Amino acid sequence: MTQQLFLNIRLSDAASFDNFLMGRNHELVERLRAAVRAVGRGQLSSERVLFLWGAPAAGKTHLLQAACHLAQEGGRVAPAYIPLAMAAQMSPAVLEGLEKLPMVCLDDIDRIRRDAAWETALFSLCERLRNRGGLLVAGARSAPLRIGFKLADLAARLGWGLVYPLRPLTDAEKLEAMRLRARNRGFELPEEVARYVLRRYPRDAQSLFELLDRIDRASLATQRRVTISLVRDLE
Amino acid sequence: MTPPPLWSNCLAHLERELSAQQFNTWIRPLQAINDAQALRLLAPNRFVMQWVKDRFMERIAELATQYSGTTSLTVSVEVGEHERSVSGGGRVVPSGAQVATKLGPVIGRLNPDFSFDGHVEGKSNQLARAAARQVGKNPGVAYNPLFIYGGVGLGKTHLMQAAGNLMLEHNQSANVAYIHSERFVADMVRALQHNAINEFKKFYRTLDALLIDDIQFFVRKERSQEEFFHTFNALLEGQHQVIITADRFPKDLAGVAERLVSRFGSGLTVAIEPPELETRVAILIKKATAEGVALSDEVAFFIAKRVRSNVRELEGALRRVMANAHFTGRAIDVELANESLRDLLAFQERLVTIQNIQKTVAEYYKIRVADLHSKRRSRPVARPRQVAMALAKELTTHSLPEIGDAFGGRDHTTVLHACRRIASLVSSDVRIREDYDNLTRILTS
Repeated sequence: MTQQLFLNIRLSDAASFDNFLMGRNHELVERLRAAVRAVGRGQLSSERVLFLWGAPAAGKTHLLQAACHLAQEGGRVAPAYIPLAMAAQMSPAVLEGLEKLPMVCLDDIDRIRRDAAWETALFSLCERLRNRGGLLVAGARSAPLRIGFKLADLAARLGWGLVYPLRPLTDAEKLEAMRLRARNRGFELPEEVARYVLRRYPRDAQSLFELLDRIDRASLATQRRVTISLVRDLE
Repeated sequence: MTPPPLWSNCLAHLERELSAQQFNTWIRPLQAINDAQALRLLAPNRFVMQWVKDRFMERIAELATQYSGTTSLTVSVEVGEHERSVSGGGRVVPSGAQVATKLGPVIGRLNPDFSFDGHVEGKSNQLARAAARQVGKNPGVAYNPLFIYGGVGLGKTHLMQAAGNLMLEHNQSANVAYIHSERFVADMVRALQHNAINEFKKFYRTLDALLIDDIQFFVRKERSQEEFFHTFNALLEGQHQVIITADRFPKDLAGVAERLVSRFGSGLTVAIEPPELETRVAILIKKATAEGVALSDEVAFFIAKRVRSNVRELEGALRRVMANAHFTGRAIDVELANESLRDLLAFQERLVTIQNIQKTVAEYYKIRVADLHSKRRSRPVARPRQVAMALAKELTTHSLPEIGDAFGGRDHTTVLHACRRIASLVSSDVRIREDYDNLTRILTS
């Protein structure tokens, strides 16, 4: 029974502000956190639109999901999170009525650019949310005016808010992020192993974290300490 | 609204079971109401409701039964919302009620922030402002319809609503409605679906003034144009005011029926141009003052010179500067504005590739890309190669073995050596530092 329970427990890597390494994104994270806290307390946020843009794997999804997590923490608020990378499997109808919710997070908003039906539906949602005083948090690969929306009004509405680039982590910060993540998962990643990984493997956050998961699993399965030799055996 | 503990338990369980994306997208937006017999989940729209029904309902019902300890619990999902303003139990507004309310004055609400006092006059909007003010004072008499056109974010909506607010100031019982064209189209479609088109028509035709924004959304929507044409004529015949905005001159609205276009031009048509520098400065100072921030002329000029396209972008820039000042506790000066706006004005972070780095470095040092791949170790080739490797490490996320491969199949230790060598030269050799900085700037800006 104990054994089964142990296997069923999935260590939660749920995105939160606490497990996000800010790097040079201090101001943006604090702004976002303050706006979401207000929403979570049932107040109107002083911001209407917060727009985060940056390269893939810079942490946009993490922050948007962390925002949802924080908003719902007090139990007063049901936020929406719409991953527009999935637009092909959804319909613009998924945006209807979202203004009823106090916060809407739209991830990968650039993925629907030049799709007239989606652009119009998004524009309409922006207007409705603004009228109801809701908070819109959006993530994309580039700033609103550079995305190339067909609907100029949509770009202008999004650019009206607070627009922040999400700066990628430096190698030193990635090292720290990996060690923090490892600690959250209950193991210690020695510095020389982290350095080894940074020298030998792709250094985007997603690849690094995936590798970290593999290291974790291998170490658990083989009951070995995390060493360079363990990592080498994964190759 | 606090969710009942039953739903909180289900939420915690589902968060562990589902992927983060599934949980955030489909489960989080559900609002719950429950008593001893039933758990009712409210989805924001039909799409979410159906998705939840098809994929998660069975599991939710299982969990709800498990946590409630009763097998007779009914679990359902429907479209609806808790009224946000109500604390405690809350009241559910079913979606069916929308048909009645959406045609009511909800859509006609004007934003009181849009006033003539809060509007900055400049050469670019002088005529439009004067006309809007005239119409606000004498609705249905002065210029009917008033057609304001201009690019995105130049203040058309502001002027239109300021006119509406002025009408209300003179006559509080006036029935003034503001609607965005996109909403007009959507509401009309919904009214047709619900057999409520007569109510829809009646609502619009009993207005004292109709302000309709961004009419270009009517392009190629024949049924909406037809409906609007009749509404429009009824209002004009009754000497009720109509104000229209668009992003272009009426005759350039391709895809809008000729008879409608000619009616648009039968009153007064005025343009709003992008604001000139002085107006942009005045807008910034006014906006900052409204937020309780004193903005010096110097800083206002600095921002206004750099953000030229439209007022929204200008306000977005000011917001960033104020946020930065608030965060750092620094006074708003040119230096702070410059720092805050650097990334806002920068083009999207260009995707830097190893190939791009090689090409740029080769051009910079006037050598060939093939030299970077070659085995040659003479200084004029070897140093640029090291610089390119160091840049590849800094500006891309490729692994060192991948970088080595891209430089003629070199070992990752060679890349590591190059990076260390360049790092040390950058701190000791002014020329190398300049080269490195220049190349970084070229590649990232």
